[in-house]
Amino acid sequence: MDPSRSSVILVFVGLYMGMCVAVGLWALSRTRSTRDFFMAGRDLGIWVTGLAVFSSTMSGFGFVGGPGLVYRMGMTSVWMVMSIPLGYVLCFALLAKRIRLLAELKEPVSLPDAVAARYGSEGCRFLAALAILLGVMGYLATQILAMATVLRDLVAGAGFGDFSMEACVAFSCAVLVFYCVTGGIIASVYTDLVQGLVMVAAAVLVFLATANVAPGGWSGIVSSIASDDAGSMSPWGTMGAFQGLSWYLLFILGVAGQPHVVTKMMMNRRIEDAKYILPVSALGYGVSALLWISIGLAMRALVIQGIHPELSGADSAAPQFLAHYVPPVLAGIVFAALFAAIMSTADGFLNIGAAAVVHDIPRALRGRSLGNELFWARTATVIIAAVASIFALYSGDLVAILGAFGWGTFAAALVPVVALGLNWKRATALAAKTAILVSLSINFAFRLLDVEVPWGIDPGAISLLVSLTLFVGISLASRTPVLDPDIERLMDT
Amino acid sequence: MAWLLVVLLAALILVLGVLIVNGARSNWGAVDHPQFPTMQRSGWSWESNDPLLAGVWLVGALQIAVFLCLLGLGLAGRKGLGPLRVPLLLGGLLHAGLFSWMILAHLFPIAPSLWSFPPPTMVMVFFLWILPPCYFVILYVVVFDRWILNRESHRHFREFLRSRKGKGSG
Repeated sequence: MDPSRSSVILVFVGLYMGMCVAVGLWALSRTRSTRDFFMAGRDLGIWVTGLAVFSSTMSGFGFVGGPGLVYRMGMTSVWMVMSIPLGYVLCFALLAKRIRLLAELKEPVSLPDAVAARYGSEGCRFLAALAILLGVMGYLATQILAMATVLRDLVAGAGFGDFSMEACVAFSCAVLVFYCVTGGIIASVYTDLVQGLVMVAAAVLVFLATANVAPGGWSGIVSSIASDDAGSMSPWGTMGAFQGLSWYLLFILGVAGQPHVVTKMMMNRRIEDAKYILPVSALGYGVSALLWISIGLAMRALVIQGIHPELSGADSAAPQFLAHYVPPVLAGIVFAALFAAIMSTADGFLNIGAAAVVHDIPRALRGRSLGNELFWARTATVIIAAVASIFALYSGDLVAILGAFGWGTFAAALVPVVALGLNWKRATALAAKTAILVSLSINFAFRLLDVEVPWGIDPGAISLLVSLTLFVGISLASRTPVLDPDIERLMDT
Repeated sequence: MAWLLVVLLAALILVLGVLIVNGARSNWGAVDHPQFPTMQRSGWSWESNDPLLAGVWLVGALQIAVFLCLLGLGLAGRKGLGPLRVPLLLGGLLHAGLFSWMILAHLFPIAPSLWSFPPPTMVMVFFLWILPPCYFVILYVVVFDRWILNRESHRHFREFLRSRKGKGSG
């Protein structure tokens, strides 16, 4: 990349990181209790919650991995982004009211807290916290690795020398940890607000830019890909119908099991705001998804037409496009948006991971959480970031395995337990524990043994179907549980 | 609703199980691109009478039914779905109808043309992607005050919370 171009991009990334530090300092004075640190004092407005919900769903994977998937396999991965707005609808229908009422009734500071309150079971709390912690470590490590890789390429491109991965991990984590430790979830959601706006702006500008990069505009892009391989431009892409449909299922149903999304539904000021938060989140995601599809298709067409040389890897589709086909200022905005996408997901994971370590697991094991919880929450945030960084740097393939494991694990383990459990009085603690254990086992077995399912069906979708069926089946076969009267009242509202 | 969900989930597992067990055409996926190693090409093509197309439709339709059933579970009040049943079913019909149109467009390419997208992709990108989420989001917004969180039950819950807090502090 041209060094002056890299310098412009670095300035934008630097400005963005400076903003994150400033928000962290501002949020420090507003974080006085564990409830502030984990639940933002349940005082968030419509825009902040709506944008935080969508920006924590659209991770770095959406900005780098997504275009790479479209470049590699054509339309198959579009089923993932198509499903998320419907996933929000389902998630809001199942959870927005109930979990927000539960937040007022039982004052939970985490999702496992809500699970324990629903089932009256410390075993359910422990297993939910365990599933969250496992998913968080994998997801967080992949986000940190992506952030450090992009930063190292940018610094090298600007002519500042070849920094080690360790140095880039340390720098990018330092900014992330600073605002997460000082301001907890308050800093996280307010940076999410800016991050969401940056992502939407970047996606619209990039979509407009892609229309002019190839001869014939969008028609030229589409027809050149289709003439090379008609299947890649069909709705199923190169991977076929069942892979696309398994992603459609996993991502529609799975949103309601993502702890970094669901916990934000406990944080809005007024329950009634849910009806406005849903359109904000769905529209925000829908617009920023334009970047996913437009860069991927444009780069595939440019390489097929011989305008751009073959890429070194599919994941370089987005960086290569930004380096060569958009003005430096726009590239700067998009790179800032990329860091925003990564950090907005990572900060949510740090927060829920810290809650699992200092609040949920101690409560499940010893019946009470740690003393001076706010201090330990801040300490745990630093420790989790450090462990995830070491994991990202030195664990090799395990990061990729756990990264892929993340969404499917959350979906299969938590959708039945949380989303169905809060809407169905017959659901039992035994069914909840079984669903979490079986989903973890299936997901780990598939990923560790590298099992390839025929037709490309995603193992996460299989695990989700099995855990849902077991959850409902075991509950129906069990005696109707006696519910806590408060929970019964909540479920009748 | 729970029994319907179990039946739909079991049907979906059964159909996918049959597919997996009879995976003779399981190489029905991607192959390496002969010219560009970082890209894939599709290793499959539709035939006009391909029975697999019916399998794809069945899996998609069952998934839409599961989605709708879960949505109904979330929106149902103490007395069930009540008047929400009709708009919910209409949304399901819209979703399933667009999905079916996309499948049929493989055989009968009837779809408006924009940006040279093949007809099924055109239906997917400009209709299936946009219309069902728009419909369900609008439905959620419109029925929220009257059905999802009506003032009466919300007021009762607030009173319950207040009395509970009063007892706690007393």
